[in-house]
Amino acid sequence: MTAVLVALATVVVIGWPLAFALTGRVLLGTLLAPLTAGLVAAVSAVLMIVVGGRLVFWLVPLALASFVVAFVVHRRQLGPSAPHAGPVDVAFFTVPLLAPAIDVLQSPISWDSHAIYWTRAGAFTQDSAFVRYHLGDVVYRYSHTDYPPLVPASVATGWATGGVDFFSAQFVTTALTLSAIVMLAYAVRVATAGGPVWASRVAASAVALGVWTGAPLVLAAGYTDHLWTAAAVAGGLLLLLGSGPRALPVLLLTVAALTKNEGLIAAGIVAVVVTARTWRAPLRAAPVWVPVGAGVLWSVVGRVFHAESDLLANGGGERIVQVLTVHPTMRFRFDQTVDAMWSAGGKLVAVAAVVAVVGALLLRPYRTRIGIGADWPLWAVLVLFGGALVFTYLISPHRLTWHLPTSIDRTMVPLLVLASASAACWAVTAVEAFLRPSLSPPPATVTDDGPAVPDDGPAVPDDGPARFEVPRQRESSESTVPTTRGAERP
Amino acid sequence: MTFSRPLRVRLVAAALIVLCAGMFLYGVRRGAYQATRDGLQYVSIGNSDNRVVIRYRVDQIREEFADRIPAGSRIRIVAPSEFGTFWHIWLSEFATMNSVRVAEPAEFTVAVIEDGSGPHGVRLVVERVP
Repeated sequence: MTAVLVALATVVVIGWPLAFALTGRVLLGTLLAPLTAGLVAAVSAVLMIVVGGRLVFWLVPLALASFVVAFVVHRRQLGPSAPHAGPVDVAFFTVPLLAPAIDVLQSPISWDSHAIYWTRAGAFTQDSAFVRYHLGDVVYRYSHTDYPPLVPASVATGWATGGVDFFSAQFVTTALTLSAIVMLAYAVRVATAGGPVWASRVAASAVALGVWTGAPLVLAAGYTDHLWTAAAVAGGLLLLLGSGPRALPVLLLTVAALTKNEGLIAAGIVAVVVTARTWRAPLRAAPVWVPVGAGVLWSVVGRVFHAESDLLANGGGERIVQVLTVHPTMRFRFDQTVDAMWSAGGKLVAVAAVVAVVGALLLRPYRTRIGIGADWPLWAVLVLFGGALVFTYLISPHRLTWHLPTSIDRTMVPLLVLASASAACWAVTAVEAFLRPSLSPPPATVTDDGPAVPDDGPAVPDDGPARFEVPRQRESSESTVPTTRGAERP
Repeated sequence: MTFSRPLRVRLVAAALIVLCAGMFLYGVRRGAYQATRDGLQYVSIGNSDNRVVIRYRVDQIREEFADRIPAGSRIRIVAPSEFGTFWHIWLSEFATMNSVRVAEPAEFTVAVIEDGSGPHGVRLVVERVP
């Protein structure tokens, strides 16, 4: 257990200064720290592979550099403290997760964890020549050597101080995953902050717990599907439904892109949707492409050192042509894939779609009133990612009778989490409509003509119009979404 | 019978709240609850002793094959004398796939044979104990 504690402490210490500087909050910063440490470790791993040396040789100076950056950001107060992240909110983000997180005590014996992430972490404990050879070694082709380095590098960082231990590896990976899930809860809280406070907090907890809906027994077993999903959806929510600073969502999307190849696809889809929303001012969307650039950079590094995706191996190009020409084989595979997706949670996505349609038809003015952005971008991300998922199974070199049963419950997690995030926003909207069904302008005492009244944190500038001034404001344009942060009702 | 607009809005809102709550409760039952239960099992049996771990995983294998193997006999693992990490890992992976809820104890023999025919280089053979 000492090795576990030392490894966890290492990860938190490395990531905390930057996380605190980004959020301006001690508690939220501590919870974000594993992810910022993961990014530092991932950059160290890439530099180790490209330039040479050992991971620790890069990790120490990069961590120190991140401390300096954090000090400068904090000293100059470059951003306001993260809103809606006081102790009560953080309790809603974390306490409900403690029960399912106990599964981290399971024996660290899961296949993918060892075969992919911890094997690579073991390589990262060696020198750069070993890692380069490992990436291109055909013997390890089965272990997805093309996967990005964030998790293995984080595990190797923990091992650097606590020693090589699989329980430490499982705990460090789970710490990263739980950190991403807490950020997802925070994103839901921010997105729904204009609604009743208690409903917003319950919605945040519900979406966080909902991450366990797909493949629950591997979430704390060293797998990374829930990690990149929570990070990507949290980043997407903050960008698509929020209107605050973009540093945190860009960081979260970068985590997703550097965790797994699917995370890079998700980050790319979010970037496309955000760019589409701001097409009149495309430069505003530029930061959102940073995570995509980071993921592509890793892909290039991996290819240079002969890491190869199993999807594109053994006639991948031929299979892509078959998909494009709607070959009969592909029709059969398509049916198999869609059936499996429906069984693995498709019904929940369908229920969320019903909620979204009914909400959009009947409760949209209330959603606008509490400042939650339009729902369609979330569903655009969901549909595009679902399409990418189907395409992946179509071009898979594996038999679907093996590939689908061994993975569909994990690959469906992003769709389930996106659907639950959409439903959570509509649930808060419904609570608002239930409590205050009248759309007529309220008395002057209810308007936001005074200073913002935070629930438990410092006041945040109200940069949007008064809540009830424009009850039917357009939802489709980012610039017109009213922001009522810090003006919640108690 | 006509409803006032506020009442109609409240009815629609209540219906959506119930739908969303049901959806989340179903998700929690299917996910977070299962993970909590699984975690508590590990707390109760401990995991520092490999024999305990193996016994637990064999229980999962029994669930896996409950629909194929008649009930009534013991489980026996045929494996190298040192039940190495690799077998350990592979068995756990195999056992956690599509686990079937077991109604009553099943009996069978689990044999791990290194013949390269399985997806990861090994094959798991299940036989009924005579």
